[in-house]
Amino acid sequence: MLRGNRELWLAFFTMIMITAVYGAVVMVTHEIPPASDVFGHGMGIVGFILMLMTETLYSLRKRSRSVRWGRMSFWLKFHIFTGLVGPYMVLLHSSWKFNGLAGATTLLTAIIVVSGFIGRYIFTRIPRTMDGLEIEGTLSQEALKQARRLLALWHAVHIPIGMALFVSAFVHIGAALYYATFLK
Amino acid sequence: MRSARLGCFTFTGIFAALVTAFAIAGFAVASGGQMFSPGALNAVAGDVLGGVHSHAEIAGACSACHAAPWEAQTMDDRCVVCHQDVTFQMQDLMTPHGRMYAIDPAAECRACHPEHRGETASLTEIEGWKYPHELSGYFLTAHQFKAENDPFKCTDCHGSDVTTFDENTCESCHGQSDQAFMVDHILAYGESCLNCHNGYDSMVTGFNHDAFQFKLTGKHAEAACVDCHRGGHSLADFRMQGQDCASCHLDDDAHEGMLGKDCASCHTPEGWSPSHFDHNRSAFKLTAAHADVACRACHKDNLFKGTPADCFSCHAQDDPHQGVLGTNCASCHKATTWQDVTFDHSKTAFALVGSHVNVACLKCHNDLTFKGTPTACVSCHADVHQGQMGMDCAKCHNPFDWKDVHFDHSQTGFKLVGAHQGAACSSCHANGRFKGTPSNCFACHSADDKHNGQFGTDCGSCHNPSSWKDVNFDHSRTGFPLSGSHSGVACKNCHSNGVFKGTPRECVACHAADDAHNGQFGTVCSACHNTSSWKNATFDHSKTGFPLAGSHSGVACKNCHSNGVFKGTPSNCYACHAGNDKHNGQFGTDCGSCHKPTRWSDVNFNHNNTGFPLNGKHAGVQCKACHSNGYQGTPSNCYACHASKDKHNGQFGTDCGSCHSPNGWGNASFNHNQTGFPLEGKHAKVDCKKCHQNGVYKGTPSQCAACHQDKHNGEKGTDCAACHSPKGWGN
Repeated sequence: MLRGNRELWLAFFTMIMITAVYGAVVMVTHEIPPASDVFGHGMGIVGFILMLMTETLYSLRKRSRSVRWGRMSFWLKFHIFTGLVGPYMVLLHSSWKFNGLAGATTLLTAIIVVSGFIGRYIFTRIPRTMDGLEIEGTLSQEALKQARRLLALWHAVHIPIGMALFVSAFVHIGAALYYATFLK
Repeated sequence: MRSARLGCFTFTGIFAALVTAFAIAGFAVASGGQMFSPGALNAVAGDVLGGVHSHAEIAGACSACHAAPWEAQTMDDRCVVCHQDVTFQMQDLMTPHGRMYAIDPAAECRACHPEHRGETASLTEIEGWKYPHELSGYFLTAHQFKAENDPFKCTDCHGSDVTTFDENTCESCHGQSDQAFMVDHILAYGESCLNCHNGYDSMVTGFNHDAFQFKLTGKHAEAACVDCHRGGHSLADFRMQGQDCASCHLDDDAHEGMLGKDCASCHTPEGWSPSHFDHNRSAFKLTAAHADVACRACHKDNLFKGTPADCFSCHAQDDPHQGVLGTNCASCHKATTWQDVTFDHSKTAFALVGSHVNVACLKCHNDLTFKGTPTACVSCHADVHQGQMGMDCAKCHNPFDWKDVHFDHSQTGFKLVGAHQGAACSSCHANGRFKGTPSNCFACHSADDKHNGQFGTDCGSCHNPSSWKDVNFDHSRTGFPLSGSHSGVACKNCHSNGVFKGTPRECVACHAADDAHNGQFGTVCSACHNTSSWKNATFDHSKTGFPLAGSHSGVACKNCHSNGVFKGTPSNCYACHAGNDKHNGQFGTDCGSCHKPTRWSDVNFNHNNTGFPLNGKHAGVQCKACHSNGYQGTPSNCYACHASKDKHNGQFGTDCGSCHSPNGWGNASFNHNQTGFPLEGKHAKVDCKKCHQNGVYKGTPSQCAACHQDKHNGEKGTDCAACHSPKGWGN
């Protein structure tokens, strides 16, 4: 069961730290770190890996029947943590320019984060065990039904957005490799 | 049992992914890859290259610049497809591209030329590169560090685009340090700094004008640049500046062109004044005082050409002769001073000799009248003698010195001798009076008389004119002729207080203090002493009761007359010789009874008058041999003196004289017959020692056998005399 909001605080603290590092780089170089230099580029890569973990790890654990590493609640917390920190780093990677495909990808990232918040809100409406299994009887049937309907609806929206985001992100990465990284 | 799969691969998820992929592909086809652009390309229109004015015109054609990673071509290859000139520049070290290619052959175009930074963003970004800035025509030598010691950045001067430069940037920085200068400088030379400045030097503190042909000295060094380089707006303008004087000083010409344009022939950069015109190049050489005269004194109104050269043109108003002596001042005056006249006075009837030579002309020609000046002495010289000596000064004086007088005083009744010759005329001829001067000594020397008239007024009777001290008085004419030491004595020793008359003649009058005898011999010193010396006294001691004989005559007076006491000196020997008595008074006080005055050892004592007349060897014995302890009471028995010489050890008593005589010990006369053993026969001739062996006399045995050995071996007894007699053993 997801109790408290420690992962939110942890994510918030991590983002503060990253912001501090970002601020220090700005102070030293006197410019916004461009997306292409070591710091900006590194943030994009790490942020994207975190986002990729957000997308895959919780989902794999949730659906795995053979390997059951850790509790579901931990992976959900990890999903929320990486789902906040990863996009934040990607946002900083953007160097605050939002044109072209890269801009669109950033926009999709922002949307999926907001969507994730909404999903978390709906998710916590349903009482669950430590492994995320629903506990029946604590909520009225009507309320529970409504919650499940909402959660299904949210899933139907959240997952396509995520897929669109990752397609866009992969194309962006491919273009960056083509036009910049492997540029001769 | 569901297989493990990602939760995102739902139908809607996969569908969304496909839609997204298609949408991206559609955009890519439609926009030519522009959606991958990280930013707008530069749209600033330039020269046409590759058919376009800017990169923005080929924004969709990514491959125009971007080669695919798998292609052999690089992006730089794509650059030079259009920018062909850069290919050539890279081979030329005199171009920025050539120099930078040489510095780093691996450098890529985009290292300095970034794109996708916006339509107006600069295409050149070389911060951090060792860009050879001097190739742009501008050195960064003087722009290494800013005032705060920070290194310069490209953007400090160029702003965001290093390919452009706004010259107002110069003013905005340099105006901060000296705004007034910048304003003046820009007004003087225009706003294009780069026309003159190339950054190599500051052109202010480090600029060395002397490196050029035209060195800045004197006032030129103080001039502002603009004073000469007027209206110069480029380095070329500065170099075109003429170096001849007139280029700058045409307006300063006070001579209005009359003296040509070469100011430097007279003036120097030290200043217009003083000028150094070589006047000697003109017909009028400047000598002496003329050389110091200001130019304008002769060249009034700065007129130089045609200035007349004759004296009167300038000096007409200086002529004190009112034209009487003509207009050619130089016939007499030199150029040094007016007083420096070269008139040959010897051509007149009055040649100048001696002091007359140095006398200022005006002394004689006092109203500057030269003609008809009288030549008589008195016409110029006032007579201090008031005519007593006549009108002809030259009779005594000469022109060299008034004091150098040659008056022959011997012609007068008073010939000058000795000190009179050196005396100043005025010392006798006071008040300039010469005639009627009295010739007697007292007329002049009454005040010098130290004798207060005791010798009258004729000083010359004793003194002569050489010196007062040179006195010639004949003392023998007085009643007291000077002899011996008296003749060397200073007069005042006897004539104290300058009193001569009535000086007493007695010795004691002068010598009372010299009397060493305290008056014992009266006041007539000359009774013993004479004038040659006090010590040379002649006293006849024989006139006293004690005539001096023997050694007494050679004794110094004071030996007997100690303390200078003569009278009452006792005449007995002991009065003087008590200390000499070696007999301790044994013979009384009359030494003369034995000793003679010749010497002490000359004694006259008759021993035969004593109870012990000296006979034999006694007469030759030294007195002290017997009188070792004095004379009185000396014993007369032999043993008193001879006890130690008794060889008989007292065997014969103490009266040596009973056997021995004073003539010698050896002459002993012992009468053996007085003993119990009279000597008879051969006994009388036997040596004493034969029987008295070892000097033993007393107790000598009288038996025969005591001396004689018995040839009968005792057969006949011991009395030899029973058979033998002393006449011989044979008898």
